[in-house]
Amino acid sequence: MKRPTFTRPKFKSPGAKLAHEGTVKDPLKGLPDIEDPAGAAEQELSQVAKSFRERAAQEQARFGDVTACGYYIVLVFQNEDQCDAFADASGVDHKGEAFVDGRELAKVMGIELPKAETKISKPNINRDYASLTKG
Amino acid sequence: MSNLPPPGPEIVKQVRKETGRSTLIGFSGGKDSICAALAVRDEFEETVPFFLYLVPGLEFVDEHLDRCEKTIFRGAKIERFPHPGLYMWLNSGIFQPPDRWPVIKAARLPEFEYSDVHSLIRQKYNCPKAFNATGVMAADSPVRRISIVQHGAILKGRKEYFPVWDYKKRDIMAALQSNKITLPVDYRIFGRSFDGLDARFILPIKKHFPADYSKILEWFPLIEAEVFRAERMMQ
Repeated sequence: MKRPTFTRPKFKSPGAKLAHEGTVKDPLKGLPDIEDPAGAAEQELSQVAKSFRERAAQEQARFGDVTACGYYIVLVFQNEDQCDAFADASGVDHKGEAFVDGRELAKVMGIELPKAETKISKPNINRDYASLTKG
Repeated sequence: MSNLPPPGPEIVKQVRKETGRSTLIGFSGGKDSICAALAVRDEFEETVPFFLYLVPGLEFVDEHLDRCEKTIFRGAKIERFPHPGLYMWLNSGIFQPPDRWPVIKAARLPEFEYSDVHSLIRQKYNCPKAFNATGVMAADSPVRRISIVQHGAILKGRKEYFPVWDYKKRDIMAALQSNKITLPVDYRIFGRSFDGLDARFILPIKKHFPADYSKILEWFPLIEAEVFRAERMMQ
């Protein structure tokens, strides 16, 4: 008996693009063909469940990356002259500001930093709730 | 669906019957805790709302709380205590410059749990049996739903209950609109209640409430590093 074929659906966007939409690989891609339909379904669902867990772990890691506070250090010198001397010698132009882009300092010092994908999340404003605010 | 707890109103009546005339209300000022407050305020003779601040004296926060005292709590005061996270941040030196370390180490600010705050409020209001109502909802997340199914909407060990555990968005909107409640500005600029020091909150505060941003800077001077990172290193 000929096995039925199934069409995989196309999802319409609900209006706003969901965060990370389109960044997840098809969890069913490349799965070996299993003759037994029950076994095939089990394999598919198992892969989807695995992908859910992986996505949750990624999201947890992303949130931890964005909200962790360990991304800065404070260099302290004995006086302003020492600080200026460091800035002059290192070639890092801090333009009189207290904060220096660590990537620039690393470049000057010949340090290769690991690649970072850290991005600040944009506020997710719900129109209904926003409409109940004052002003 | 027999594992689900009784509906919210029955939960409130049961807590009222078992714990007496007073209830605490853990009040963040957000939509969920507002719904919880509306659901319990007429069932108890005394409602004791309390708010846990992450940064002392932010005007945009206090303005909303002042308004809620009038519109939701009929003039009752919302007790304002430090959030456990505030002391934890200070003790961890979060966004603190080196010159503050000696002060922090000398102060040895106590680290406490939510339950410690609840106990203090029960003592102050002489209501040792009072449970704490919160805006926890099963619809918050699958994990939350499983937890409510497993443990119910009244946690006797923690003296806590969830009067609107069964609310969904339409119930929230109906409760807010029928009571003519104004949500805090947070929902327009953050999309949620203010609850952190990361760029999601700090950038909008810097833009919309410069005086409050200055207050945050007083407590966490190196928060400028977060602003620097977000504005200059992630564009």
